[in-house]
Amino acid sequence: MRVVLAEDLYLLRDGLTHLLTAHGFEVVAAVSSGPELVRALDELSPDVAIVDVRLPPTFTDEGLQAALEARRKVPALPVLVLSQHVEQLYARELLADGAGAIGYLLKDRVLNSDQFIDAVRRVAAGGTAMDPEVISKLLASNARNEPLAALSPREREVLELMAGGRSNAAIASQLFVSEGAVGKHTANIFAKLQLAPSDDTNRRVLAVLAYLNSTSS
Amino acid sequence: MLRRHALAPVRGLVLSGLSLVGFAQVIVAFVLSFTGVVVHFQLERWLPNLVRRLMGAWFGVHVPQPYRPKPPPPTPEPDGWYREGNQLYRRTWLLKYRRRRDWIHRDMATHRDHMWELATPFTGGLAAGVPALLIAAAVLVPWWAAIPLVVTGFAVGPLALELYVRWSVPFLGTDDVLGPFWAWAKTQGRAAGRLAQACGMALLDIPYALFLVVSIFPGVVGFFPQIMAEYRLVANARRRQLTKWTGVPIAEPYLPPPPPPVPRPDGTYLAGKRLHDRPDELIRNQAICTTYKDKATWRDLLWLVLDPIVVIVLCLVPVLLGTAAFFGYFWSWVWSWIPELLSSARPREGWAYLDLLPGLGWVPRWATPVIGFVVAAAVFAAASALLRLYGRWGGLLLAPTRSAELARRVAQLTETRTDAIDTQAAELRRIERDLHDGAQARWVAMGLNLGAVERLIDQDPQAAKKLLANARNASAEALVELRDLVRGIHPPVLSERGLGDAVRALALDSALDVHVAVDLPGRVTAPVEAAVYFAVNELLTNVGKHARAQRASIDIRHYNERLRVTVSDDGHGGASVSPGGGLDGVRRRLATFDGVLMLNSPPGGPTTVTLEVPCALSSPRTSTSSETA
Repeated sequence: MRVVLAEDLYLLRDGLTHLLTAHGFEVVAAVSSGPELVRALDELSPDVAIVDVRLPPTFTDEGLQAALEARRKVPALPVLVLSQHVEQLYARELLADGAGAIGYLLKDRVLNSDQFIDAVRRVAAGGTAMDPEVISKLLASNARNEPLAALSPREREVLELMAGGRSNAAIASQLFVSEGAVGKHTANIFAKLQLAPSDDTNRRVLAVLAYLNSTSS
Repeated sequence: MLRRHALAPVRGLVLSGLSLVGFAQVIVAFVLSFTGVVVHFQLERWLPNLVRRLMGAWFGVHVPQPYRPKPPPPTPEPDGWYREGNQLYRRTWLLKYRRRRDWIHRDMATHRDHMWELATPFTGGLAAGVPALLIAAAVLVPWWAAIPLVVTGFAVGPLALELYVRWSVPFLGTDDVLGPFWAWAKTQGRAAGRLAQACGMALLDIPYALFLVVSIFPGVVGFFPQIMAEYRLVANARRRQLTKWTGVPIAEPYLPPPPPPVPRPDGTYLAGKRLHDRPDELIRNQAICTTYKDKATWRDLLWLVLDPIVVIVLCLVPVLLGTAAFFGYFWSWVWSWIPELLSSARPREGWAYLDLLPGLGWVPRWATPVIGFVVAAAVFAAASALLRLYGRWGGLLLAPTRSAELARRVAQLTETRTDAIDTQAAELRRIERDLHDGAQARWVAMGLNLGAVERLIDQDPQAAKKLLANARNASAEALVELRDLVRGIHPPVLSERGLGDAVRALALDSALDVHVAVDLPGRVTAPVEAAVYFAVNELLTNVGKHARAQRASIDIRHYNERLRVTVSDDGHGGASVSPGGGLDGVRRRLATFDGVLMLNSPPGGPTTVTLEVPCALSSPRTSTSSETA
């Protein structure tokens, strides 16, 4: 799987390249600035891009802008955005096109290499990987939302994991329950939030994120 | 149609009668209010409310009640005391009384009601009573004169009521029902009232001026510097009043007080060549010297002496002229037909009914009321301009001179600089403490863990793995702490996106429903950006904590080289800038940038806080949008 990596810190860029190579990815370009990233995305058409929000030369949100621009040109181009901090604002912008194949994670998550590689694969396959912190912020700003308040604590837990992009099986193993139980919980969640139920992990996650996105606006 | 004409005299009589009741009521209310009782101000609203209902029922003119909502009942603090501003109360009755008093007094609708009640018997109420009066008068005259009177009475009924309604609606309605003419008339009327007020105050000023001038000579009355220092309170009140009247700010011109004396090593205080044991005498001497040396003292005195003369020209003459012309030559003519109708008395030549005024014998009879009206209207139309002129005169002597302005500016800069340095030092201390107790400590622990891992890795790989997991957890926690710390120093989203989006991100993270509108044609300079961001953060936190609000809105715009941020909420209001409080902190931090904070928070809400900071915009990146979080 061909990866374009954009990260301005040499150590992290190098570390990520090693990590990805070790897990069977092919890093076709590891760039360190915004203009380079735009060129690499244009010319190399990778299977997935891993992009730091803040890049030279302006050290503002160049990486994010480049990623959004690339997705405008190539819809649903898989992009995993990394940042030292997560903002609902950015998450909303990334999710706005509703195409999936998007990830937004704190750089800290790189420390857990298995989960990180899992997230990269999920995004490359058209799924989503939202940082737990984004999810909890989205849920917190929906605190006064009545349907959400009607969820049981367990259902809320399942919702958080689901919104992060996990499949039923992954949620089951994380919560130490059977897959059937998770299925029941997700059915309940969809009923309470009045969303059309779906078995497809990606569509299901997008529905939940769209719900959280829309109700808090 | 016929019904309207038939009912009009009756309705007019009712409204006219109510206007008399209102007049009596407002007189009683004013007398009662000298005793400090306020309850009746609320009770007496029955009459305007009745008239509002009647106007709706009879004429289809919908006049909503304009009053502010009632203040909420006081809620105790956690320790059981009740707090209002910086005053604590054990029991609620005084607090309730104060809130109700402020609620009624600060509501302009109360004052409009009173004006309406005072004036209506002589204006709209009188007009409304005319049809009934005409019909009643028919009893007194022979039948051939009675019939036209009755017919006229019924015929003009609706017209009289129309006049009544037109007169009453501007008083009884909310402010926004005023048309352009009434709005203008209100401005002019207010200006005329203020001119009259200026006359009254100048009258009080004359003995005061004499007293102060005499006190210059030592030993006659009082002690001049002390009296002048106390007079500053009065002068400042006049400055504020002129500022309010004309909208042109008149700042305080006085030299800043001298810094407190510093003791020598042996504990004495040095002044010139003399040593003082205690500082109080020295402080008093310095205060006296400053008062004498301060030019503003002498300018105050000059103003006080000259003001009555200026008032006579600018205020007294126009007010008297307008009043005399209107009531003496015009208004009396308008109503002259009533006495003429009822008695054989004939007015004096020249239509001056009030014996105080000379008749205008040298003009034709018809010209007298015309002249009266034109002169009164001219004075009325000139009222605003005259008031502005009077304000300019006040500014001439009461405003600071250039050097006084500079002296005050230096004092202000010294103060805000000290504040800024203190804040910055406190901030650095906080960061140091957070790093020391947080990330630094965690890294030490991590280092220890890794050292242990190094020792264990060969003998006990299982234990080493466990320690490694610990180390990784510690590093993750350290990262979280560092991230929070960075957010507190300078939020990344602010550097990445600028003020507008940073505030949007704040709004998204808030538990409230926050609407954000941003109109910034560029990037705000970095220090102002950060200061305003943290100010908005503080305000939004305040709203969430204290205001019991559901919704808030934030408006950010830049014009006239100033950044203006408005934060409003639908909470219960009653916020105040108390020294040492959160709002005061915001105010002080903005003062470093010459920014100001304005608070409008009546009890019962809503609360609006406006921040204004002079600043230029850099790069031409455009960001204009509005969205809800």
